[in-house]
Formats: sequence, structure tokens, C-alpha cells
Amino acid sequence: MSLLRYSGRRVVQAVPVLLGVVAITFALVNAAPGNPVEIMLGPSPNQAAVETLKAKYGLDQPLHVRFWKYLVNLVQLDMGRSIYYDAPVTTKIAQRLPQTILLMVSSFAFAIATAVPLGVISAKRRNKPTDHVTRIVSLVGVSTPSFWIGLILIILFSYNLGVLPATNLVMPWAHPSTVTGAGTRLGVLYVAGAHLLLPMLSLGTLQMAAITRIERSSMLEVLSDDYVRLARAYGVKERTILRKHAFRNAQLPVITIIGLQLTTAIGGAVLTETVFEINGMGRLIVSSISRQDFPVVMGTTFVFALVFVVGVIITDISYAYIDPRVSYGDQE
Amino acid sequence: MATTHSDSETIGSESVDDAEQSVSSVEARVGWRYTLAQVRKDPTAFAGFIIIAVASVVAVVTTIDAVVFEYLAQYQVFAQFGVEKYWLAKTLWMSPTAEPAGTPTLLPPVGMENTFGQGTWAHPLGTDDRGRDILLRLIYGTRIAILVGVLATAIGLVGGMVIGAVSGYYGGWTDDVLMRLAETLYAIPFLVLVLAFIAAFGRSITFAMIGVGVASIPKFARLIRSRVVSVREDEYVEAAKAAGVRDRNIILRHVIPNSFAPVLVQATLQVGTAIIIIAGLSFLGFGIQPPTPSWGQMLSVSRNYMIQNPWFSVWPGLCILITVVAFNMFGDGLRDALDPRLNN
Amino acid sequence: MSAPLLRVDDLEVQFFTEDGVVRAVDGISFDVREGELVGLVGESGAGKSVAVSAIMRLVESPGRIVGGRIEFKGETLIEVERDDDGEPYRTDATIPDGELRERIRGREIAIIFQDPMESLNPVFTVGGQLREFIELNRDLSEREARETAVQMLREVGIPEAAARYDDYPHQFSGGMRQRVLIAMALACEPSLIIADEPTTALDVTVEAQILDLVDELQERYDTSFVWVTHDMGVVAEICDRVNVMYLGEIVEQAPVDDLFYDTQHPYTEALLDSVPRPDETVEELNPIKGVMPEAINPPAGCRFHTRCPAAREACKTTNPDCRDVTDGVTEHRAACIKHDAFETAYEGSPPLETGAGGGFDVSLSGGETDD
Repeated sequence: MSLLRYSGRRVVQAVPVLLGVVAITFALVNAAPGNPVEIMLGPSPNQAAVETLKAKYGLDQPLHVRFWKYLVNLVQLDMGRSIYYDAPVTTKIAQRLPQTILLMVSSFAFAIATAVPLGVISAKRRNKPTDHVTRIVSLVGVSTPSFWIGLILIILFSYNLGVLPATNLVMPWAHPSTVTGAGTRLGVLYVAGAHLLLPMLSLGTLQMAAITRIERSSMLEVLSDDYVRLARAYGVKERTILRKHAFRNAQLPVITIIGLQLTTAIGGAVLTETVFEINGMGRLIVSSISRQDFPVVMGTTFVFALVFVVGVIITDISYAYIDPRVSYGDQE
Repeated sequence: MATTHSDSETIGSESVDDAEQSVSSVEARVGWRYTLAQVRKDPTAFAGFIIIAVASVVAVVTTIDAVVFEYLAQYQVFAQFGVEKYWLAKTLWMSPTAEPAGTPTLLPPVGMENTFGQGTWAHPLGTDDRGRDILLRLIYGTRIAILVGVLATAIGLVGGMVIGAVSGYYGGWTDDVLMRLAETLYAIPFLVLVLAFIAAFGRSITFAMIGVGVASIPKFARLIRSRVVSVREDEYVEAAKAAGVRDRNIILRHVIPNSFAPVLVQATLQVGTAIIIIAGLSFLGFGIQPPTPSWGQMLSVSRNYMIQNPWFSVWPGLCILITVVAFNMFGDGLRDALDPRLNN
Repeated sequence: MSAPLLRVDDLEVQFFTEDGVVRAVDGISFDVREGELVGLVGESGAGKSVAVSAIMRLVESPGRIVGGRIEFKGETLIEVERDDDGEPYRTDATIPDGELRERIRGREIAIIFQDPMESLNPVFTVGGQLREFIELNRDLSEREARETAVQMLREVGIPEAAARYDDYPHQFSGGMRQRVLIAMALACEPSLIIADEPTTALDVTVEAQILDLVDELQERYDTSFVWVTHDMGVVAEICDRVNVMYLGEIVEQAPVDDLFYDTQHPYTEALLDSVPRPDETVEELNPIKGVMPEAINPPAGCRFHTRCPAAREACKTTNPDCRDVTDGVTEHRAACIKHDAFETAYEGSPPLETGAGGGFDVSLSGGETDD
């Protein structure tokens, strides 16, 4: 099946890109002035101690050797050891990754679920009040810093109204005994939802606004396409035209935009985690930079890129699923 | 309309250059006036333009007050007149970074009251955690937002133009290599890339700015490259080539001016993005360091006092919002003004 | 003579744009009888496409049908009159939207658009789209519709029709796609098919095949056609009667032979003159001088007078309607005051200078302009 082959192709194409990412990150980190070991040991360290630690972290070997070693280890899921935590980088990332993924997936789900209907309605009621309001709101939404939205939401809902918690995420599959205020599995879900709501809104607003805009403009464009006119000329009901004939085609640019939004979303996740004090990868990379814990910085950068690339591949495959021209390349 | 060649026999560089100039100046001239007129017609775009203009003026004035005066203060010639950093602010009101003794901290905006006291007109939007006036600091925060945003975008634009133009024009393996590089850079999420950059080079605003600039190069490079590739096929480039014009000149005088439209739109929108990212970096502590006022940093501080003085958190974010909305409105307006012509 | 299948009476369509009101169709009248193929010919911008899209009320904003009456098989598809303030409104005789959609569109009248590339939905299979329309307009079950669809594809000459049913539009060439669109139109078994320049986007050899196909199918199904084109060659080949349009008006109306051999309007003459003939060597081509003016600001009086080689002073002040110019011998109408049917002082009026307009010359020699 062509779609399968297309997916396979995309995955294969991603590998050299990821390799390049590792190379760039490696180059960046090693371009850094200052030596992490010296930083760890403080000013004017004992030279012998420096040498020992250097050897321990393999910093005494030439660059290309270190790079190769890093790659080899990477393939075996070993990203080195965190200087600060004195634990494998992989472990730290594994601890933090679920939170970040939960945050991102839920915010995208929220964004898509609200933006698509909103955009379609906006297109259908073009230039009427609903449309104008939607357009203004999306413009504002796209221009608002997500961390500020988070702050405002916390002020409103956590402090003033006291309804929702302001920090941390509870994973929905956590055991009830580990979650305060939850006696059962269902209770855990409820608590998890409460913790997730504000961060999800905070991160998802920007995506929602961006998707609404493109959904609207895409629908408008498609609605003036010839095949829509033809369907109308053959007596297809307006509702069916909207739902079936126009909708599918209109999603193509939307999917493209979602792919482009991924990079902003990941950045937004880093900031949202900071605002809500969520122990995800975002906070990990930020604190690691402050501590100059380079193995962690490298590892998290790579994993972020990996998440991004996977996201892009998923959107590409979704695009190809809808648009047969992508996978069925053959022409008569 | 073709220019009149004096002699067709003198295929020296002069007559060819004349041809080039008149062709390119015709192309460029048709663009700007019409575009600006279109933008003026569009109310949102025009509003955006006004806000940007105002903000820019504020940014320039405050920069002069902060940086230029500080520099001039070194010289006796000026110092004797009392010229110093924040001279303008101090004369008109007060220094944005001073912490005057006795000023209450965390005052709410005028007309409201909180645990720290009553809002007053002396500090219309309230005071921050060190008793500094918020409104004044917001005004001076414009400087960082606009300047850094514009400079960072400029870096991305110039870098992207060079790479994109070369890549698109020459094709072949230059193109392949450069685009692979761009793709790889692009695969690292924007903020993460900037963070890695900052991690490597240092936590100052300069590196933040350069980092944002470098991270935005791939987007511009791709845009320019696709325009270059399509323009490259156009006839007047072929004509110029046939007339023996050097590659560099072709790129500079024909290809780039005609790629300008979408690039300008992208650049305007990118400034908005850059402003948000820079604010985010300041929020994380990686941007401008206190006491210099910056919106992101103010938001970061306000976090600690969310309960006591929630209004402190509102204003800096609002400033970011308004500024970015302005750039988006203007950028959208530019895109609409340029689009139908592009399709023609 | 029985009532015509389709009668268009004084149709007016206008576009309300920022720059002003465009009188795209300014009072045209024609009819189509059972089993005939009526041509609607004219340069780009003459208003032909707008006119035929008005038949099924497919005119899209900012266009509006502001006057006239269209009757089909005795039903009023649209009737627009003006009220006391001069505002156009649809009379009660006009059939409602729902009925138009269910009974007329696709079922009684089908349309084929110009660009086969754009007319098919790229994300659905060709067979699927065909089947959907058949199901909708012929009250067949899904299975029956599918069988009919495959059968129809075969009839229009698509090889391996059953396999091709599941292919997507981008997997067909332009000519094949147009055949699919013809299949769509015929499969719904309408009484009238409107073909809006269906062969313009195809190259000549493919066009010839399509014309042959249409000829064959028309004989077999006895469908009536309204065929819009700018190509006089096509007109000569397939039309029974012809309407010539210029700037929103019909300037000549005749059976096809009469149009070619007994041309009565200067515009039609000029058109025929401008077509280069492969069997003649000519010193130079004979394009019509000037460019067709914009419909937003048509010339006063006769609209063609600015480019007419036979123009007189009187032409600046009279805008002739289309009248019978053969004293009832044949059904031949023209809108030119040089004929006796018009009592104007054409003969006495001094000739007008109509040099080339300030632009380039235009002819109907098959060049497409993307207006």
C-alpha cells in the first residue's frame, strides 16, 4: 500500500536529520567557553581532581572520537551521565518525558477540537458578527505569550476562585495511593484532569488561534473551487458540500500549519512547564542550562528534536492519507 | 518598457548596467507606492502600523536616553550639563531603575487597594517589588522588545537571504548541502535551539538575540530559495545572463528585489514571534538582566507576588500582546496588499 | 412549433464590485429546442459563462441576477422584476431553492465546466464522485449507481473502466477527465446539458475526439445542449443554431449555416474574418481592431461601434436590440441598425473613424486569455 511505503520513506528520511541534530548539538555544546568540570569543582580547582573528572566524563579525548562514542552510545540509549544529578541522562529524561508529552498532546487535542469547528463556522458565516469576533479573538490568541496566559489563568482560577490547582501534573494512570484527594482510579482521573486543565488551556490557546485562522481561510478558498461549484450544480445539498466535498480538501493546509505549529508548541511547553512548575523536560532543560549540566542539555535537546520530528512525520502521514496525490505519485 | 540603448554596439559594462538599473528600478517602483496605498486603506493594518510606529519612536527615544546618554556621560563636554544615563527620564519623572527609599512596594494601580496600600496617580499602574514605577519601566521595556526583536529578525533575514539566494541560484550540491543544513537546524524546536545556543555561549541578551536570529535563518532561507528558484527561470534573468551580467549582480539587482514581497511579510510577522520568544527567555532568566527593565523579566518577578499584587502580572503581558498584535495586523495587511499582485 | 425546452428572456446579470457595477449580461434572449445544440459564442469577457451559470442560479457573489426570466419545460427557473424603488426582486413564480436543487440541478439540467483539472475533487475517487451524482439524481441504490457509473465511463471511451473507477483525478489526463465530466452529465440523463467551453483547455487532437464523442452521444440520447465557446471552428462543427455575444449582449442569432454564409452583423463578420484558415495563404492576419471594452463602462449606443468597420454617427446614439432581419424567411436576428428592420437614419449618417484602440488587436484564433 502506497501510504505504508510513504510512511516508511519519511521515517528513513528522518534518520540523517536526527544525526545532523546530534552533530549540531554536539558542536554547540563543545563550543561553549568554560569547562563543566571546572565549573563543578569551583574556582581554582585542584588540577589532579580536574584530570580525574575529565577522564571520568571522557572529556580528555579528541572531538571526533567523543562524537563517535556519543553516537554509538546514543543508539544504545545511553546519553551519558548528568553532572548535577549524578544519574544517567536517559533516566532523568524518562522521568520527565511523560509529563511533557501529556501536556503537548492534550493541548493539541484541545486546540484542534475547538479550532476546526470554529474555523468552519466562521467561514460559513463570513463577514457576519460571529466571523468578526472569531477573527479578532484568533488574532489576539496568536499574539499572546502563552506563559502570560498561564499566569492570568492561575490568578483567576487558582487564587481568586480557588477552583483549580496551580502546579504540577498528575498522570492519569498514577496509582490512587500516590495521589492526594483521590480514592479510586476515577478519582485519579478527576484530579489529573484538574491539574491538566489550566496548563492545557495556557499552551493550547495559541495553537487554537492559529488553527482557527487557517481553517477559516482554507474553507473559504475551497468553497470557491470549481469542484464545489460542480457539486452544487449537480444538486448536492449545501450541508453535504460543506461537510464532505469542501471539508476534506480544506484540511490540507490546516495539517501543514499544525506541523509548523509543533515547533512553537514545544517552545510553549517549556515556558508553560515553568509557569506551572511541572516537572517535565522543559524544566529539565532550563535548569540544566543554569547548572551548565551539558550532558543533560544535549540529551534533552536531542529528545525534543526527536519529539518534533515524530510529530512532523505524523502530520505528513495524515496529509498523505487525505491527499492521494502525495502517495499515489503515478500519472497517466 | 525597454530602455533606449544609445548604441547597441557598445556592449560594455556601462550600457548593460544602465539596462539593469532601469529594469530593476521599474520593477521596484511599481511595488512600493501601490502597496503602501493598499495598506492605508485597510483599517487593521493601518492601526498596526501606527502602533508599531509609536512603539518604535518610544524605543528609539528610550535607547538614546539609556545607552547614548550613558555613553556621552563619559565625556566632560556633556557631563557638565548633567547628561547621564536615564537623563530624560530623570528630568521628566524619575529613573526607571532607581529604588527610591520610602516608596511603597507592590502598590496596585490607581483606584485600587491591596495589602500594601492604595493606588495613587503618582504611580498610575502601581509599583513593583522594589518600589519602582511600573508604567515607567514598561515604557523603557519597549526598548528591549522592539530593538532586540528587530535586530534578531534582521540577523535571520540577512543570513537567510544569503543562504537562500546562493542555494536557489546555483542549485546543485551547494543547494543540497545548504538545504540539508537548514533542515537539520529547523528540526530542533525554535526555543530549544535558542536555549542550546545560550547554553553554549552565555546567558546575555546579546547571545539571546543572536540565537533567535540564527534559529530563524532556515525559515527565511527556504522562502528566499523558493522565490529565487522561480525567478531564476524568468525571462529577464535569462536576458541579463545572455547580456553577460555577472551572477552576483543578477542576484542582487534582479532576483532579490523581486523576492522581496513575501520576505517582507515574513519578516514583519517574525518580529512579533521574536518579541514573544525574547520575552519568554527573559522570563526564564536568560535574557536581559535586572535592573534594566524588560517585559519578560517583569513577568517573571511578578510570579512571586501573584497573590499580593496580581495586577503586576497583567501589564507587562498586555504590552507584549499589543505590540505583537500590531506586528501581526500589519504583516497580515502587507500580505493582503502584496498577494493579489503576486498572483498576477 | 412546440414550446422550446429552455427559454431565456431578457436576462440581466450584474456584478457589484468595489470599482462599480459590472453589467456582465445586459438583456439577452435566446431559446433551446428539444434535441438541438445551441452555441453561445464570443470573445473572453463577453459574458457567456455568466449567462449560462444564471440558468441554474449558480451565479456567485458579488454577482446577482437582476432581471429577466428563464423558463424550462414550462417551469420558471427564475423571474426577476423591479419594484417601485427600482430594486430587483424574485417573483413568486420562481421555483424555490430546494426544488431547484432536487428536481432541476443534475436531474433535468447538467453542466460541464471549462477546466477539467479543477472540476473534479482531488481527494475522492473519480468513480466515487460519479456514483454520488448518479445516486442523487437518478434515485438508484448505491450498487446500481456504481454499475451505471462504470457503464458510463465505458461509453465515453475510458479504457478499463471498472479498474479506473477507483482511480483519483490526478491519475487521468486532461482529455480523460473531460470525458469523465461528460459521463457525469450524461449519466444523470438530463434533458439539457450546458457545456461551458469544455474543450478550451484541451489540445486540438483531444478536442476533436471529444467533439466526435459529443456528436455521437447527442444522437443517441437526444439531449439538448447549450455550448459555450470562443472557437468558430467548433461552432461550425457541432452547432445547430448560434448566438453571438458581445459585451453582455447577443448581437446575432441564426441557424449555423446562415450565420456563416449569410452573416448579418459586422461583429460576426469580423470574427469569421479573423480566423486564420489553413487552406488559404494570406498576406496578413485580419484581427478585429482594438480590444473589447470593460463591461463596467460600455460604450454608448451600439456597443460594438468603437471597433466596427461599418460604424456611422447614428451608431453612437442607438443601442439596437436583436431583431429579425430576413423578413421571417429564416430565423435570423441581428442587432445592427444598418438593416431595414431598424428605422434609423443609418444610411444618411456619416461614417465613423474607428482606428485601432490604444492596445493590441484581438481575434478568435484560439488564443486563450486568462481574464
